[in-house]
Amino acid sequence: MAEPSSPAELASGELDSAQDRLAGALERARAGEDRELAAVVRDEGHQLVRLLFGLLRMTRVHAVDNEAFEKPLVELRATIEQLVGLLGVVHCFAVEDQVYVNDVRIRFQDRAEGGAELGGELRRLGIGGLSWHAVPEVEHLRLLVRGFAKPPVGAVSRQALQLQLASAGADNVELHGLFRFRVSGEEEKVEAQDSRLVARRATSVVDETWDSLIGNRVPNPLPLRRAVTEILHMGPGLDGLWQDPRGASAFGGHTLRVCRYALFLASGCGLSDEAIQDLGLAAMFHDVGYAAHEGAQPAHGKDPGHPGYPPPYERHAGAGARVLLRQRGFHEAKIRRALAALEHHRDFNDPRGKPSIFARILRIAEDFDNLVRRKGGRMTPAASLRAMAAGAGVRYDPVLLQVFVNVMGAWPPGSLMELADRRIVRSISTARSPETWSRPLCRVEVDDNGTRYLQDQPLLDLAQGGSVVREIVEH
Amino acid sequence: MLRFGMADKLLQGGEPAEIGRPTVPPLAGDGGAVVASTEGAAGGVAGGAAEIAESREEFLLREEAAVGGTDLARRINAGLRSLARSARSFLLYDPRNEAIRLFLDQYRSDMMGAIQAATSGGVTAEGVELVVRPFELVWNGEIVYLERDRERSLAFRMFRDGVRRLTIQRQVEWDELLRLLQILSIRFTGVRQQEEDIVTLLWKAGFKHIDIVAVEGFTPEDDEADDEPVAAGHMVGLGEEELRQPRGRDEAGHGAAAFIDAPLDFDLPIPPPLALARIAPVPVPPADLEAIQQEATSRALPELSVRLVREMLALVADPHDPTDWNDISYLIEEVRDFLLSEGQLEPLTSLVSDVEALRGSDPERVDTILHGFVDGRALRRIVRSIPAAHTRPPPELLWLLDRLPGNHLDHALAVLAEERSPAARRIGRQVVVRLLSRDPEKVLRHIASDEASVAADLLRAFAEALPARTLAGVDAAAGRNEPDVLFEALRVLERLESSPEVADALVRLLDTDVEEVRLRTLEQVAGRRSGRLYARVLETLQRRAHGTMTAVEAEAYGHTLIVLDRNHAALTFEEWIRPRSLFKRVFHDPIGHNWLQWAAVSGMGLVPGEDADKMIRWLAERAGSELAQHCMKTLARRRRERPNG
Repeated sequence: MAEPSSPAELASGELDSAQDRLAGALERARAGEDRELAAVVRDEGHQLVRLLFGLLRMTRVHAVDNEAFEKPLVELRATIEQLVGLLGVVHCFAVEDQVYVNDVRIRFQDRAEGGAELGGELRRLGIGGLSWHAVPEVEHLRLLVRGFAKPPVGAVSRQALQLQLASAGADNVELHGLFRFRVSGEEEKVEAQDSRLVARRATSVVDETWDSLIGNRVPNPLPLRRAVTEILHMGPGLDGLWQDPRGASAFGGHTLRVCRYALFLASGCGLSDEAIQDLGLAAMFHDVGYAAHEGAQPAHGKDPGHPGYPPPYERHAGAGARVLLRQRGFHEAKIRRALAALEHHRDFNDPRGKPSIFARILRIAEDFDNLVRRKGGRMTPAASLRAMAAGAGVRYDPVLLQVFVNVMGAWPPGSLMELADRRIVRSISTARSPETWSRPLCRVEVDDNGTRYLQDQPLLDLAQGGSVVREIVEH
Repeated sequence: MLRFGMADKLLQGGEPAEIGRPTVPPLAGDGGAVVASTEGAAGGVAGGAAEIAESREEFLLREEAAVGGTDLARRINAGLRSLARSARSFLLYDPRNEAIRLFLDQYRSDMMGAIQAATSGGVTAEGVELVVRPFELVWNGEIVYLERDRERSLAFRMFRDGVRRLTIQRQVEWDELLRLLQILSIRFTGVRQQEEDIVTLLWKAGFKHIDIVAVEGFTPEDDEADDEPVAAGHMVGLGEEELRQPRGRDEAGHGAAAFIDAPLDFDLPIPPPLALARIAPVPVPPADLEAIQQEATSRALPELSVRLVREMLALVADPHDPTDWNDISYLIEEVRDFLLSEGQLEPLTSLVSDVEALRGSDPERVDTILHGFVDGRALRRIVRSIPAAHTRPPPELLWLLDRLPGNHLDHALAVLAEERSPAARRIGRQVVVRLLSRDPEKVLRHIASDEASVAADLLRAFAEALPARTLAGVDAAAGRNEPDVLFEALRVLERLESSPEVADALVRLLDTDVEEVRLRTLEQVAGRRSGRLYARVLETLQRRAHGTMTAVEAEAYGHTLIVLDRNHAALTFEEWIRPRSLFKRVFHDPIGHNWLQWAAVSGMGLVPGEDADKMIRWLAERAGSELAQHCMKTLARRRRERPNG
């Protein structure tokens, strides 16, 4: 092809190239989404809203066990089944006089169809919207609709109705309250981000995600992705992030630590921002397999059912992938994290083949934390690194492990050391440079005259002086 | 997933009264029909005004209100409107459509112009900083974007996802603006929007010259304590005081009926400990890091996707694992569609093999899954993904067609009917050739009834696949009157040896309504030089001379008849030019005789000798002016072509 000879030709060529790149990116981002998908969602969403509104309206004049409810309930179930098949989880929200099904606005030919009024009906119980994470039984829909009848038949509040549904085994329908945007004070909140707050929020979201998955709901990666983005934005190595957030569960704390070790490792390898964010999210989800229920029996009539039990260690990885794959829609991040969940305990030289890159990173991060934590190996951070080094090439990717060693330093954060001058210090930084690899930033916990600092511990940069004589084993 | 604004009316500080266009009921469903805009740009008339209806295309492409009290503000407004319009246009057009190109051009010009103007005049030295409100974007205290319809509004999309400030710096590059458009377009058009939002996408983009400030800002309207675990699906903006209470694992404290904490022994047992080794900081070779980085790029995605499916299939096959087909069938479909859209046929065939290997566990399910690999949709995607320079179907496609059951011929016929690009049609046709023998009669029916260019392709495929039955294809085509089909019929006939059946087909083509086809048929007939055809061509001429005929056609007949049988033709022509019977010479002028004479003159023009000259000259002296001219031209040509002048 001839080179462009004029500015106009050059600009035209640039525009062609821009359109090509944009088209490729959009096609990949929307892989699996036919242009017809939105139209189908609109049509089925229309049907869903019409039926739902009709049923709720009927509760004002008919008893819920009236035969008149039967056909629309069956139709409603069929419609939800269609939508769940397409979308995985169906959200239906009423906002003022507008109704949305999974972000697609549903429009109506006339008001009698219920678009504008659905919000009003839902608001009777303080409900802003509903989400179905699986196809409901007709009986569960009947129970839902019954909740809108006048008390004592109906429920008195959204919470009460949610409890009724849960008790009946309808744990895949979620009732949302009415929400508003937080506007006041948010600027100040953004400016004054506290790393401890970020950490606590992150573990809180992990715990909330756990609760959601326990309820057989579809994973929602967005809140965790936001948490990862926050951590990355602040810098994963911030001092406040190394301590377990107050109130965090053991599981939440472990998840957050694994995430941060993984982020460090990924950064040390020079992965792109995109990959690092996706990896952080994969780390947040890596052990969700324990949220899967094996042997669960749903409640049925008088039979209360059984909640099931978490899978054993051998199956939690596969269970994790299974849970993550409840989310519909093709996305590179989803594929990678499902694979990472599945493979993250595999050896580097596994006969089934080298695990994926995310899995290999998580293996290192996970084993490191498991070796250190109290319920795990109870080793010191430094000893953990040395123990892992012995597994390079067999258990662990040798390149990744070396990067991890380079990044974490001789005294990874959390290491408790005694210095030559008898001070007891705790490392709070990773390796800041090859030159200071074994001289991290620390906080003094006990000074040279035996004074113990419980708060406002002074900082000490070992790069400026001080030498470690021994590592202190705490557990 | 509570990512969009609900109950905006509850915003603190109140929301300016909405000035919207009146609600109009749409006339039909979504497919290109009328929609109602219940929130229009500011300046519209509220309530009581005449109803306004617009198509979905108009609705999406209608520009927002032009706002801005200063020249700079108006320029920024123009840039933002271009951005919003471009992002919305992907809801209507294929990304490679020419219309998109025009929008891109406008966006580039408007936005770059706005940034330069705003940062060069000393007003905003470093960049354009926009405050994001629910329906407005504000610059320097001035509203520079306003759109209240949630479905159309750029500001609303950003606000909903938590963006509160967007700053575009002076040094912003076109690539970054393009990426910004890409991110917003994804959020406008995607349906399964669970993975990312604008904030996380913007962060991932790693912009050097575009900054954002974002919050997460949803709170329950009722601030009463809620015993339920807060629904995952939104970021709760928890403050310090709200986090002070430790998250108790009191089983009575949570509303869910079935609550299970993570097991205390999660991730245990740890791997058996190894002897401690020495560690030291060792630089990692750049090549090793490069290899690691490559694994994390999107290039690895096809292989990773197939691998995930393979691993999950292994779990399905494991009798000790509870994973079943229900857990992975959607994954298989999604990976299949991804590979199809990317034209990744080799991994696709691997995927098929992996799924097939488990047929024994649930044959019906597996067959249903496999059907989706070569149904009409899949075939279309594959055909579209093949580069234009490729002239043959890829072997992987043929492998799929041979291996998997299904109505492949029907799907291939549909693809051929729908695809317009020459490359896609070429591949489609070759696929039909491969499959045609499964149901030739069906293809014949399509030849007789499909749109002309499609029918022509099918005829060509038919002749290629079943040469022995070419005439059946020609027969199916001959009843049509479209040039495309008929020319194709002639082309395939040309390859056949002369026979009575071929003769029949050719003669049949002499009766089409398309003159050009008739002319080419005569050419082909002449080329065959088969005396067998003489009588039938003669009969056709005599019949058609009474209807519409042109001089060109009459000439062609004359030439053809002489070529087929000079002696008989010459005698016939002589009779037409100068009947022996005096009565006929004087009185007989049947309708159509003029064209017969014309043909005769043309035919005799090819017969050497003085007798032919005399005959033509004789007619020239007696014929009407046009025929006489034809005679004179023929004589002149004969003189020129005669050796020795």
